[in-house]
Amino acid sequence: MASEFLPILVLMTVSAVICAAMVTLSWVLGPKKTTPYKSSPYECGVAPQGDAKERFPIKFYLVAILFVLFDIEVVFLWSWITVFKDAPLDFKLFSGAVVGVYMILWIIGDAYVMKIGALDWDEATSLAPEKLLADAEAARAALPAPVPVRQGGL
Amino acid sequence: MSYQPIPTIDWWAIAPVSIVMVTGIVALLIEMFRPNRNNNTIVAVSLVGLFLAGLSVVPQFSMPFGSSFGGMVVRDYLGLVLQLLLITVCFVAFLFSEPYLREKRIAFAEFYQLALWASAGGMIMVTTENLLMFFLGLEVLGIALYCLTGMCRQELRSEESAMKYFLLGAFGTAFVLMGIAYLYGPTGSLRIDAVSIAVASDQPHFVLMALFGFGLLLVGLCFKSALVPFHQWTPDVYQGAPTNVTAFMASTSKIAAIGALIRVLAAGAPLVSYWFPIMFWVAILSMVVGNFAALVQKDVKRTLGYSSVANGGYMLVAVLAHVQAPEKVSLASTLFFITGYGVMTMGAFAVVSLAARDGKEGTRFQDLHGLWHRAPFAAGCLILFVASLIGVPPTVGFFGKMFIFNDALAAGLLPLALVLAVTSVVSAYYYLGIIQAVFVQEEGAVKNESGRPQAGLNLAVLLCALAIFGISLGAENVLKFMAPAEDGRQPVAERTVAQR
Amino acid sequence: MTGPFANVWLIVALPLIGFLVQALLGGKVVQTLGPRFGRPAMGALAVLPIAAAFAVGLDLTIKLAQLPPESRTAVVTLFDWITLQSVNVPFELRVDTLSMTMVLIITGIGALIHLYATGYMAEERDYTRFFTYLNLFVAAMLVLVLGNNLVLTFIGWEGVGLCSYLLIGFWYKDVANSKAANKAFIVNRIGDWGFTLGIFGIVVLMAANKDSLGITDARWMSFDVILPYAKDLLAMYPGWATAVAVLLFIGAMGKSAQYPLAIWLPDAMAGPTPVSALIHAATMVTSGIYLLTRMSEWFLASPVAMAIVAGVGALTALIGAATAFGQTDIKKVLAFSTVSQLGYMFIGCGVGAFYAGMFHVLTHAFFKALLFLGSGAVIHAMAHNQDMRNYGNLQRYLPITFATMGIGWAAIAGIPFLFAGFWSKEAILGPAVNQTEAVMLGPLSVGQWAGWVGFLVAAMTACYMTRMMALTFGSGPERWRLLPAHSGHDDHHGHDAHGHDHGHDHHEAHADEHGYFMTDAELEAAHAAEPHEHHHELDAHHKPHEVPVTMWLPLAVLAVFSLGWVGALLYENSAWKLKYWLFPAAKKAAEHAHDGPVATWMLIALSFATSLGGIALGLWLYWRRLPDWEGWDLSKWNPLQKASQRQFGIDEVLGDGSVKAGAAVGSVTWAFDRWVVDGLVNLVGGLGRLFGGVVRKAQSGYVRGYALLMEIGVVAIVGYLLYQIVSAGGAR
Repeated sequence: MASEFLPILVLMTVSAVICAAMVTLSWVLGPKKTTPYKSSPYECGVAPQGDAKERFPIKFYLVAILFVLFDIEVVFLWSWITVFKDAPLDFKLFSGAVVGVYMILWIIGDAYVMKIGALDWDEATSLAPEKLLADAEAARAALPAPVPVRQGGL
Repeated sequence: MSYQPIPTIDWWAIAPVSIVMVTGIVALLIEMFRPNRNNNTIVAVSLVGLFLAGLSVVPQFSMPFGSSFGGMVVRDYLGLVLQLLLITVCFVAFLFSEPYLREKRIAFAEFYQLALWASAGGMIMVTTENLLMFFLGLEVLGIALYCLTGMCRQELRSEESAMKYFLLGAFGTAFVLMGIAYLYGPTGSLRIDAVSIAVASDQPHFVLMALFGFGLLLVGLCFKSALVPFHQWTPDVYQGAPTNVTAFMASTSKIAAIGALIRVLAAGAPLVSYWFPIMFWVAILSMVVGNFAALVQKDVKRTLGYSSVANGGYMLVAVLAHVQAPEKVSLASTLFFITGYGVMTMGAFAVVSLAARDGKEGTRFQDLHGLWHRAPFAAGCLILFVASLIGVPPTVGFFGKMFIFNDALAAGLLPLALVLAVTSVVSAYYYLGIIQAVFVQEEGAVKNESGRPQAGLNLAVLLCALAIFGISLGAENVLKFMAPAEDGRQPVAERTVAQR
Repeated sequence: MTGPFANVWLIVALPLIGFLVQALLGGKVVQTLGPRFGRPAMGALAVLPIAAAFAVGLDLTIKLAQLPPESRTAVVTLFDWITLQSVNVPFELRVDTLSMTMVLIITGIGALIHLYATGYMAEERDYTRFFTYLNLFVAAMLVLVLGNNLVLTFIGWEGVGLCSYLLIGFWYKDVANSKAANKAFIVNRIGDWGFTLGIFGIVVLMAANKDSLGITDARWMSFDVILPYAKDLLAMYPGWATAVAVLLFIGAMGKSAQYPLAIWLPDAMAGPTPVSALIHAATMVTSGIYLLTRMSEWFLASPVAMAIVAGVGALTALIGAATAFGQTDIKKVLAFSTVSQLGYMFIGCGVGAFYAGMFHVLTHAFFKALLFLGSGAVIHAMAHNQDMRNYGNLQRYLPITFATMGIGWAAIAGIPFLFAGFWSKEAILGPAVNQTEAVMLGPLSVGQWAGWVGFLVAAMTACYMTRMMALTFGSGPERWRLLPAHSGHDDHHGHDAHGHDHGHDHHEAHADEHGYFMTDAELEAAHAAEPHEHHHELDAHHKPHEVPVTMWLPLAVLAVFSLGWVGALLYENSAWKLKYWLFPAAKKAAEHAHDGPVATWMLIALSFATSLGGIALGLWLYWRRLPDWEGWDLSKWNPLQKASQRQFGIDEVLGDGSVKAGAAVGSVTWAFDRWVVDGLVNLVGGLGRLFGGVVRKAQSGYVRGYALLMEIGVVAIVGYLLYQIVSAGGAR
């Protein structure tokens, strides 16, 4: 057993030792003359402005997630289509049905995403305040105002 | 090129999960077009769908048990009972959710869809013997719950708890995945009893890897079941989540995770001598820490969160008793207790949800003051639920604990039985505090003046109360129903190994 | 549930239905019809069930009498009630001579008193509440006497106690009444303690021995199973027999007002007069005698217990009679007279003449109910003033009341042959003074002592009853016309005697009709603002009126039954019919009945002497005047009279003593509870909270902390697994 995995173990050990050595040595050997300017965070060579913990719109995250979904779809479909062309008929039918179900679900989800305006950069959220209160005005008052997307972004 | 044979399709076996899933999708379609200014249509469709799903479970009790879809779906007693329970829990949660969502002004329309899918995830978890399917169910359940936890966006606490739940959940999931990988490595099998294959292979390093993977799998499941030391998310998340989500999560997540834990532990029977001490201590710690930490809480939902930890410990005792002596102890008392736990937790949280008022969460003990005057029926039923949680005879909680106690003794687990009894007594203190808060009007306490409970909530509470009465009155019959001895419905532990 | 006695359940059910009707519909009916018509309607509905029950009882008694004496016992099982593995306690009623005798007394006199009460309580605001309680009482009393097992007897026993409590405190707005009710209830609890222990003793004895006795019937708590074996059982366990008998007797002492547990009965006069007549004279207080008679086998097996019964009975008779001399409240006189007469009954039981005790129960029920109802009529006529010092010469105004009460007086005073009381008293005292083979006390047996004391009491009874009659009806001045200013509110009355028997209509005009939420000042104002048309004080211009027919008719009926024919009817050929009715087995023994040391003619002579002497003394002292030594001015009373008026301090000593002792015990147990029990509990609780606090500290709220703990858990678990593998010498 050991002989099979020994090279890997050696590799892991060597890399760990090298990493540790680099960090430790530079910390031990390096000169430490800190000035306020030096210890400030690096930001494109300019003096930092404002708080580092800045809020940014969750839209970015949302778009990224949706993008990943498209990725996954392509991965599934691509691998399926490579097998599909040479397969016997019954497999074609069966796998076609399975992929069909998958695509239907995917399309419904996609339609939903578009319908609620998740891809609409100007609309805020899928909140539906009018469902809470018969009076839409009161609903708007009851809920916090949507955070506007900051002009100019990050 | 070889093709996988096309599996024969057992439509019945996947019917409940499919119906719940499709109901969620239909509800989503309805939501897309927003026909009304309220969610009534969605609630109605969801309730009908859940009812149909429940109906599709019932006839399966008389069908031949076994696995289909190449072991991805299994039909057995455990799975069917837990599926039925999950559906019921979701049903009750939907009954009282709408008034709560309105009272709290939560404009999150996707609650119903996500809850339905979470239920489906839980149902997958309890009806599979395939680790990948299990993982799939776990993630469907988990991700839906992360979203639901954070659905009250105007509340920082809700957001915070969602984030915590998500991060820790991801952490826990990583262990599960890693564990599955380690099990798959030596055996090449994704079956839940891969451990047995590894042991049968007689290769020492295979056993080592399988054991390592098995341990990691247990960690993930303990996290989901909120067992000590993987419990710390529980009180925070229970407190932060909107109360209806807490109710749903407390029941669904616990039921699904314990259901899966039963299968995993039963499949781990060949290595029982290695992991048994671990689970033994996990059970003891859960009972002790859960109950004692609950003593000092000032928030009802946190208290119930710790109570959930303790109840997880009780369930684990029952499971361990079964695994230790499967020939003597059936799974009946585990199922009995889980059923009772689901019902009384739903009921208690449903009543606690009445404390919300005018867009704010009110879950400190003093927010419950005056509930007796505002909602006498619900408050009265709360006594019943709390009595059951304490384990006052003749409620279902009492019978559940008694059965577990007996099982533990029968399996020779005296320490667990003793800890169970003692910590149950301790629990009475904080449970009674809840009742006290409902009835005692302290000087200068903030009086909660929000609206009267609506019909849906009263119905939900009534259902839970009736269920408690029904189950405790027919305790013996329910127990018999949960442990049929004949026609090959042998304990999970034996069957899993035998069918390898 | 078949057979000739199948409809015995009606006897219990009818009053119960009456109770439900009164309770559920009463208020509504009176409200709808108005008090003018509604109250008579509900009154009729209250009387009817009792009268109907009496009819059923009469029918069953006649059927019973037609059977041969040995088979005059039937058990009617209504339904299975408590069924356990080896115990079956059905809801079963026992029809035998004893129970039917009691049923006739209860329903017969009960019906008359209900009728009387419809008139007496006519102006009462809570009219239907009164009859609700009264009907419930009759039902409970019937369960008590008809029940065929210990459990049913106990239910009836507690039921009558409850109703007694409710009715004593009927006018609950007066605190004194509530206190009297509480006193009655609490003192009765002491008796019930003995009673329950006695029952437990019987149950234990039966449970332990039913196999050796060969009892296979699961109904081994029923009388018809217990009693046939009682003799064998008690022969085996003489100690048990005494213990059980004494405990049962303690229960009987509570219910039947024997000293020292008699102190509640005089206070119980706070209830309306019909209640005093029915519950505290005729029926409930005799349930102790009923119990002793029912369980007579147990008492006969223990001479010691019998001596205790006779001794306590004699003592009670004596104290009661002595105390009655000092009372100026007409109802108090009758109350102490009742205590005294109950003592008589226990003398009868204590010397083995249970039939005589029951005989006295029967006659006493008639004449004492008569006297109470008569006194109620007097009180009614005298504007609810109960003080005899304010009466005088009422024979002129209340001729019917005077005549009927006169018969009752003659009965209780024991005027020979013509009146019922003489016969039953003879039946008791004869066996008593002739009792020789029992526990001895000096030259005489306890029974004999009791008998001679009984003769003394008979003389005293004749005297104080004459005093009561003379002060009330005697031909002296009409003293209410000479009232000194303060006399209406004599302080030494245990509680405010005037105005209780008085419709509480004053508050009806107010929204807060009970005045619950008023301060004292507001209540005063409410009183002052109202017209006082009902509230007539007794003053110099008062003119008594004879009572209405619904009130004097029961008096007349009861008077007829207080006459001597009742006694004569039961006496036949030197043998007591009632004795063989109740105890058919005794017939053979009577064939060669022997005379004791005191011959019958001597007894009769003694009776003549005692009753006529007592009456003569009373007439001489009181007929024409109110003597100064018991007049309005308390300072002129002689010491003996004062002591008697204060009940010789028994009430104070027992009441205060028990309260103080109770407080002392309470403070000790409180301290134990506070410091030892609570201390332990708090210690455990505090430790638990401490541990909880430690756990809470770990709950930092930071995800990194949680993840760290998880990681530690993972390392521990996986590390443990690997350690085990390694320590097991590698993987397997």
